[in-house]
Amino acid sequence: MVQFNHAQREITLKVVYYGPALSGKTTNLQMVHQLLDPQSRGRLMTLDTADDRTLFFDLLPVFFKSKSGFKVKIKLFTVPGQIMHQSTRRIVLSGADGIAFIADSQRSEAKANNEAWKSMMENLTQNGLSPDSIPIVIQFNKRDLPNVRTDAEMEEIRLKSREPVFTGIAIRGEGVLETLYALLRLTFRSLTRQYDFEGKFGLPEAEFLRAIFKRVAPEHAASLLERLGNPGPAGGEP
Amino acid sequence: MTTTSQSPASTSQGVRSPATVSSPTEVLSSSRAVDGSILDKSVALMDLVDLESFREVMASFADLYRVGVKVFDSAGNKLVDIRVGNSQFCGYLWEFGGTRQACTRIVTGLKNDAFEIRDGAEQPKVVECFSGLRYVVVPIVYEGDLMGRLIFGPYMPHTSPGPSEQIYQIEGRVERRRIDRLVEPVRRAPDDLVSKVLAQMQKVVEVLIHTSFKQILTSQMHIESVTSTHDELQTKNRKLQEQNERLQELDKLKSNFLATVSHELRTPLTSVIGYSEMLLEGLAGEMNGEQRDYVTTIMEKGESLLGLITQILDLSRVESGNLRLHIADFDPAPVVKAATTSIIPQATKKRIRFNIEVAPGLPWLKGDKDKVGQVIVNLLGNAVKFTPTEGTITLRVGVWRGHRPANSLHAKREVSVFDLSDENFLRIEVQDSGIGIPKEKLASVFERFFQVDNSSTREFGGTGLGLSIVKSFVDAHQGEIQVESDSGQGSVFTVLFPIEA
Repeated sequence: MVQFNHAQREITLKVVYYGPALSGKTTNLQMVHQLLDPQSRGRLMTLDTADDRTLFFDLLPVFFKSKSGFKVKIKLFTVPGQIMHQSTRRIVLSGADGIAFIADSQRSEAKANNEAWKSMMENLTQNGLSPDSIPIVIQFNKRDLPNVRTDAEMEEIRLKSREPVFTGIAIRGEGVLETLYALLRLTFRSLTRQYDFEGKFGLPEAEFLRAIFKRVAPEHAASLLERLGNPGPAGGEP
Repeated sequence: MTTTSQSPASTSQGVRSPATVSSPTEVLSSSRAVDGSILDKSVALMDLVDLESFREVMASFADLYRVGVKVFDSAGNKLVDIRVGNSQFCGYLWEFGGTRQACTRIVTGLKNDAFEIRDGAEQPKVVECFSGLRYVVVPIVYEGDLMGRLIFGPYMPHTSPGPSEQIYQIEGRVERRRIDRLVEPVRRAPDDLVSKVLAQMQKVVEVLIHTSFKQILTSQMHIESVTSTHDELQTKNRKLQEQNERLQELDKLKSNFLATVSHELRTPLTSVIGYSEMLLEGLAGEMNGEQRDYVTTIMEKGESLLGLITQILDLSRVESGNLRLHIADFDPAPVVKAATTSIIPQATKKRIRFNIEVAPGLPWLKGDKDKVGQVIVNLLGNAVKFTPTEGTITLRVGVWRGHRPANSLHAKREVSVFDLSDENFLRIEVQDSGIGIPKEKLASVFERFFQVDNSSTREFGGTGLGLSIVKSFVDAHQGEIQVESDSGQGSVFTVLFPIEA
């Protein structure tokens, strides 16, 4: 839930990476950490077990100061994917302003994706959030593995889906920033409809996105800069 | 999702700073609950670091570089104050009104003056003391949040010739010779060393904060998760209990219903059988062969239907707790005899070899002899049903001394594992050479309505109630029933009725 602190001129947003176990939520966050300008993000905090399974969450703070003098902080969280951590997932999800759902493209994982999606909807409702109004983007990760959904199927999914659908190979950084970019743009739009960020805080969408995605690694910069110059309507890949 | 509420703006700041009123047109505070998750709270430096170890680290820096260190959190609380070398020098200046005032101004500024912000980040600043000494104030920033400040100094800049003339301009009474002597222990340090030291200190502080923050988050999340799971389980438990109670109620209703209906069915059926019997006996005149056959069929079917209904009635009585045993001492030998007699015709029809091995001189049992008889009849009836033509059935009855099985419901709780003394039982064993029961289904054969082959094309009829009733009767006598079998191996049912000593 976005928090405003007028005394310290701070705005804090919460974004959550959700999805089934081992779908690559932590990998997404690790890549965001790696690809974003070190000046605009903090340390990646990982609360995991000895075998690298997320125990409570990962947290990557991203922050910048707006030209109007507001400090904007975006906390990127992942939830633990293993079934047993249901209550932790609900706690982490609580008050989210936007969600990236990281799905596993492998055919064998269709059921796990479905169940995670269902549990997310339940958790949102239990947290008093309306699944219809919270910005969500979907990333089909692990496109490099065998036995994944075909490109044609992905196209079909994209047409069917109410949420923007991206594909990714998070482990190579592919699709990671695109997903985050689309999500943050949707989130900003959703929040600004209620709170008028530009009018009240002097923070227009273009500045918000540029501040976060400036100086990203060169191989990702080109495609992103294109978007930054031209923030088109929400949804879909270019 | 974001919601707007009327909760005061201060709630969005956690424990850090006092409430600040936003303009009335902009009620923008979040609706986060006061006892919300640690994830939504900001934590003050003071709550974050372990003060003891933090002071130790700072003291080791001060020791190493022989320069004082002070740390304040963002609310102005002093966390660390280590003086090195300057105490006497500063103490001397503190003795005079003018220099004391100037000193106070400097120190207040060190503690409170805002940082200059460049590129969105707080910048370290150098503060010159009127005495010619120097301080550096470094912001403690964690993830873009100003958590506090670190004041390094005072030290004498390497390039400076010595104490400043300003001292004497401010306060004429200060003695130059004394100042020169007292300034000796104050560290002379080159600025590049200082900036290196500070960079290192900043890094160490950041790591300390990060580690502590991680620890706090871990332990808090642990508590939150456990609490949440606990709440959830309690809710579920309550629901399950309610459901369970309801199911028990329904189960009882169902048993009552069965008992009533079976009873209502039996009455007219008895008439059907009775009148058929009278017809067969010729009470209504002689019948021709065909009529006789028909009436015989009516009577046979009626009797098998009556048997079935009796079984259902028995079972529903057991379940609704209405099974009444007529307990008395009785001789089991005639009961066994009667049971075998009633089975022999069926066995003979299938040309089954029927061995009866009853030990002589059986002791008397205490129980309901009708029910005990029905147990034997049911077991033998089952054996006949599942044994193919020309198979073999053996009934063995005798006294047996031993333990109850480990999973027995009737083992006396207070003696179970400590007292291994044997009990005396009347043991009834029915062995057949029938189709047997697959191992994995053995555990279920005593369940109500259970049938090994429950397909619609099954070969053997029946309700699946027989064994369940047998078990109920055996249980009602504090007896035991066991089965050994496997597919194609035939079955052995063993019943133990306790014989009271």
